[in-house]
Amino acid sequence: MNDSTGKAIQVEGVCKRYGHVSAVNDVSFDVRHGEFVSLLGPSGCGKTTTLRMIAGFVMASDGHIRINGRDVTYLPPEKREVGFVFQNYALWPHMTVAENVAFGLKLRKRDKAFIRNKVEESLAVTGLSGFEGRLPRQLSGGQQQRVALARALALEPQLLLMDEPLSNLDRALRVAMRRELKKLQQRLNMTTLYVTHDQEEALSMSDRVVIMSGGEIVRVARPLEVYEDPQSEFVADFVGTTNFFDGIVSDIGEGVATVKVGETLTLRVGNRISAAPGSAVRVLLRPERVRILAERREGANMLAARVDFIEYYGPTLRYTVALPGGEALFVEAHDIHGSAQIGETVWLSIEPDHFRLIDRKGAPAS
Amino acid sequence: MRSPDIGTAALRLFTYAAMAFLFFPIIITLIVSVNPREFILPPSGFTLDWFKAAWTSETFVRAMGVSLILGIVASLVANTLALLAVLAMVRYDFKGKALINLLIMSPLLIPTTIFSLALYVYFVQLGFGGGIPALVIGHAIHVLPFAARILTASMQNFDTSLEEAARNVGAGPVRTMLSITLPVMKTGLISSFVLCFVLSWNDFPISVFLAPPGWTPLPVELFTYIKFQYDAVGAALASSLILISGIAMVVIDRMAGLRRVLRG
Ligand SMILES: Nc1ncnc2c1ncn2[C@@H]1O[C@H](COP(=O)(O)OP(=O)(O)OP(=O)(O)O)[C@@H](O)[C@H]1O
Ligand SMILES: [Mg+2]
Repeated sequence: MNDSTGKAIQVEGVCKRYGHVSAVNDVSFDVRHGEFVSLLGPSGCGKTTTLRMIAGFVMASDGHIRINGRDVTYLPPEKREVGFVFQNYALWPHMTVAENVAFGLKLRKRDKAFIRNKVEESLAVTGLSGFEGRLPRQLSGGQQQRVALARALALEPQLLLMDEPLSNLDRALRVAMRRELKKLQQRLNMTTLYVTHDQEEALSMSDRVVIMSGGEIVRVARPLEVYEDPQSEFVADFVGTTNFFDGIVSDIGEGVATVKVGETLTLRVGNRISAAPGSAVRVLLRPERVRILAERREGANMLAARVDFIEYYGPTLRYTVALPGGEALFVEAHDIHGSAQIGETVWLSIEPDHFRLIDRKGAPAS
Repeated sequence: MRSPDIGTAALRLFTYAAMAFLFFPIIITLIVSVNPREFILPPSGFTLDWFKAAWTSETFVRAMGVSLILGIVASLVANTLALLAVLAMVRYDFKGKALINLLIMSPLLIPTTIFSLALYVYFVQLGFGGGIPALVIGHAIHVLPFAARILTASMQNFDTSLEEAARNVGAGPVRTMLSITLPVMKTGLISSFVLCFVLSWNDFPISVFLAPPGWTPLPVELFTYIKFQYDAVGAALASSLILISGIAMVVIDRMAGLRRVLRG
């Protein structure tokens, strides 16, 4: 059922206040039909509250919520026809797996044969055939999670809301379930809004990511954009690891700005934000964008650094290095073998385009 | 310094002594009710004659029926009220919550005899002192705090996302209450009901003040009987009361664990 706007969810200026506490503040975003959107942010930033307002479990203090173009802001949850998967699964403990899945269908007064088929189908899709007669407490966490999903899918919702559905599973299972969930979502072409505080989950599953902080949206973008071009210190720091330098633009050339950081460090940085000379900027640099070299070569940015600390992560090594001006820097390298030792001096090579610039509005320009 | 073993042993001894002291009258009552030689100890054998006499007496059977109906109705009333009150108090914050809680719990603070007399006077003023409604209300108020305590614990353990999940798949508030909330709280509800029933079943003071003629519950009937006739039929009747309470306690224990229920 596509309506003219093509939007499955529209959240418009929604606020939620608890007394004097503002849990969600003026949040607006859309989810298009068939899209997988994640709400990502640190604990307490208002993700769950936003999702629960869309499901109707809590009433928005302000603003409007539309589902398929219909204003549902004041509609009780049972009238909204959206699927919801709870973080703690919320399976009914007195009902078997089959009864849990069938409950919503029975409420809709479907005939027995239809219900039986639908339950069977939903359990098959989630890999739970044969578990029909079990009670929730007789299942593992991963199996309970699947029942919760099957229960939502049985009603063929046009819209699926999930609140950290994988956060109670161990890492291996979480990664496996993540892929299954994504495949299923693509196969059913189901519009999904997914809450998580796990950046990896958000980046790997989503078409778009909505990043929240302190009850507000700070960024809406595709995963690649979020990571490669965070546009704010918060996003850069929350999604992945980032090095920061504060400096002043001293000169600009063809798409490249020269940034002076402190007394000793000068960086040549891709200037995509058209920073003017004299402006205060913050320079972001992903650790894996730095090449670590044993000797000096030609390059736009060639910095001498002392290795202070080395952490072995398996696929990568993380070096903590110090620049002559005392600035500390994370560098991530895949080359495990020709690795530098602690105390050695190495050369860091950084392409200008691998830096990201952020305007530091209001910062003193000297 | 005292060895902890001696301390533990002493405590154990004291506990057993206290229990023996409490159980002694009950045990004597049970023995007397099956002893063929009326009130002469040690017992000379085993007989169920006294029980037979008690259970075939029309007065006593009727009193038992009264107690049964009274217990069930009062427990139903008390648990319904307690459930609604607890639902509001656990889930919502509102002004006067502490006061309402105190009111519900207040029957525990007042000696039952005084409380019963007060109720009697009050009901007389209202114009229905010594009627069946007065008796039921009196019992219901008496057991209300116990129901409230058990159901509060039960409600606090209840995960509200279970209700949200039901609403989400299309169940309205009433359907959700009937299909999810009450069944999930079943253990607490049954425990609470049985405990209330036992309390009502054993109550004497409230019934003395409030029971109308022809509607005498068993403990009052028993008291009246023992006052005038000092025989083993009374003991058999008392034993019946004890046994039924005992069975009820076993039911609660099986259902929920007595310790958990009484701790509230
Ligand atoms: N019922 C409530 N009463 C008062 N404050 C609340 C209530 N529910 C949530 N909050 C507050 O609103 C803010 C947002 O909560 P929310 O549960 O939406 O966070 P979240 O982003 O889902 O966090 P997490 O990742 O830890 O689940 C928090 O500061 C929280 O304390
Ligand atoms: Mg949350």
